[in-house]
Amino acid sequence: MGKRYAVLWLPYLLTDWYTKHHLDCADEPLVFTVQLRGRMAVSAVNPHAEQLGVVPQMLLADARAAVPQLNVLSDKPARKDKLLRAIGLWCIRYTPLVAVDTTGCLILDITGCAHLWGGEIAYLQEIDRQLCQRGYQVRSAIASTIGAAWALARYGISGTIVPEGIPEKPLLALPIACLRLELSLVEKLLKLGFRTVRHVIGLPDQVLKRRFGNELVQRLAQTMGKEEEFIIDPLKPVLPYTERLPCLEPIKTAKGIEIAIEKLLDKLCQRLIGEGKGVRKVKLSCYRIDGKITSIEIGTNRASAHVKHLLGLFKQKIATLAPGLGVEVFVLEGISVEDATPVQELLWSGEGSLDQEALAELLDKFKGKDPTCSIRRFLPDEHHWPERSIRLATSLTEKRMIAWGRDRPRPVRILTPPHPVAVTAPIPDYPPMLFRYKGEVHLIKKADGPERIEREWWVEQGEHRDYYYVEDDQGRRYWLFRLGHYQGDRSSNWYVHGFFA
Amino acid sequence: MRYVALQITSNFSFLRGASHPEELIEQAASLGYKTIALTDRNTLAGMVRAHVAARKYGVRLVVGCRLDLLDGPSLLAYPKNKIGYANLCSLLSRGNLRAEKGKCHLYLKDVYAYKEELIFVVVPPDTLSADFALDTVFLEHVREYVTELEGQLYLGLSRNYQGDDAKRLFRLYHLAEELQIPVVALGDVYYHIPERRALQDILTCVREKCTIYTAGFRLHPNAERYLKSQEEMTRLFMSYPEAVEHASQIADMCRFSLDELE
Repeated sequence: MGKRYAVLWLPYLLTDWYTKHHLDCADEPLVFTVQLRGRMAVSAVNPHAEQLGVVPQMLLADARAAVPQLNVLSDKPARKDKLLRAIGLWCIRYTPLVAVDTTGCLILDITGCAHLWGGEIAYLQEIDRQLCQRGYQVRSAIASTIGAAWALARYGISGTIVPEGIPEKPLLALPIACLRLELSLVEKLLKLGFRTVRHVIGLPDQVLKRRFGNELVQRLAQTMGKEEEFIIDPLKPVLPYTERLPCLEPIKTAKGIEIAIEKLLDKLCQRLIGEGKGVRKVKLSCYRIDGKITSIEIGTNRASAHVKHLLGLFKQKIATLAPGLGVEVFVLEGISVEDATPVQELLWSGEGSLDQEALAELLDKFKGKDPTCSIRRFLPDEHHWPERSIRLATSLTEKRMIAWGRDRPRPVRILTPPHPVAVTAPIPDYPPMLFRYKGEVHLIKKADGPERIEREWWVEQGEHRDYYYVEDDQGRRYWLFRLGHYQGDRSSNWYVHGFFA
Repeated sequence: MRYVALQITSNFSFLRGASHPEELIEQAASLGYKTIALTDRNTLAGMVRAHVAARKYGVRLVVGCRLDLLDGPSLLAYPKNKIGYANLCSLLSRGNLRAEKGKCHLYLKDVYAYKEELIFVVVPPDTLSADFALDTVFLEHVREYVTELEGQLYLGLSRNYQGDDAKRLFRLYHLAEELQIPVVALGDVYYHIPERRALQDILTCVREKCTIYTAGFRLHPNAERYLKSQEEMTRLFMSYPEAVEHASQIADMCRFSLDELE
């Protein structure tokens, strides 16, 4: 039995997707636009717009002139591909081999699949119906070659099924563009009067090759089944990072659970290492024989596929599991999986990458012991405003973009939000003489300032701050500020914002 | 003795100043200034418009220029008379001829060659080093200026609410005492009212080819670079009253006006 292919073309993919979520737009002309050489061009249209004469590649200004009531949305570059991929993955239920081609069609290798749905006619109808129900209009065709199916889906009557053995006949009347040729070649052929497949099919290959190059001959041969063509890059469904361990006897001892976790981690980590990935978050679910599920979760600071380390983290938490009468199935699930950065180990130096890994594992252990403990890493950010001059690092390995500023004194601990204090201060911009913080009066012995920091007007509006570095009679140093200018009629608001070492 | 604003950058310093000379002069007049100087960067281009505005508002304009040098700290230069003005113009022409249009390449030796009948003020550095000392390179240059520009040199002091103002002023004052040169209070004005800060930030972004969100430390942290009143400046320099005095002393010495050119 020869190969059989189905090609699905979704002519209104983007607009169908949009109207699915915005039902009110279903009855009006709708277009998506992209920036094309500095001008806005139409990239996708819905059937209403198409009827009114708007076609893709048209300039938006022209389209607007023709159809003033046009509903215009801006397109994102990868949106169409993403959608098509998602639909392709959905199609894996019909055949294991699905591919997305460069022209925006889905190619299904349906060899040996159609009979499960009761023949090719029923098979194609089922796909059409399912997609239609989901709001997508589809044009489809089945043939023995990818080329023929593609040509019929794009240019023929939707739902055409070409029986095995006679590929040519239904294609003869189709336009030359159905052969998947480059636009320049199509234009050249049209200029010379080759309008349909019929015009080229009888000509000898040598003549066509000399005049139009190899592409035409190859495409023709592929379409007619003289040259074989396969799906090169099939879509692969994403497998969840999950491992299961069913047990013969219910397990309820800590040691038993530990062994189960180790076995599961072994399997999971093997797969992770193979794919160059590591886990940031892992969840262990235990299905008890009384039907209840109990689970524990661990997190790491950097993507890890290190069995011993992950097991250590789980060990800290095994005590919190309630196995009840026993656990019959363990399921280990990598909830958050990231690419692991391969570390280059240094031959001679004891410091560096290894230490960093050790540090990350140590932090994981702290966090595992006491979930409330907060370990954070801060990096400098290029802002004058103190609250924005530091930002939370997302990972341990993140590099800082700028050096920590040393030209202005900044406290080692900053209070968020600043704590209001009562002060006695001479006017208008001298440091305070004393301040009361948490019920305690601090006499100020030494002070420097003011450092006036204005709000970043493009972020927020408000009063500036005058910062003072002060030292009290105990030798403790504080970072105080006054909000805004001194104004005679009201008392100023003072705050303590941080502590120096 | 009343304070005279001696360091004012108008929008003739391309993409730096955020106010027209007219706006600056008008604001100065309404604040009660009798005398004011304009010091754009390596140019006298704003002088004519400032001169016309100054005549209109009854303010005396001190002609000046900020010399940004390629091999030394910036200097403010004020001609005492027509000869000084001629020297300043020749100096700037030499710098302009050396560089492409819009730029001016000046070196220390050019300044020494055309120093006659000019008063110079060293523009102070913005920051102190980590141990609260002045930059050693700056110190070397100031020492060189003192020997080369003897009797014509002042050391500028400016306060922009940077936190270490008091320390910086103290260091500069002691340097001046050690080298026996007078100090002078400067305002470092970039716009006539604090509300212009936003425009000045945007100009900085255009100059540095970045957006306001990525400009970061290239912007000034506060809006203190506006034209402050004489009372406010006298208060800010309360600990160094002679600095304010010297400002008006320089203004008295530099009597050159564009009217003399007719």
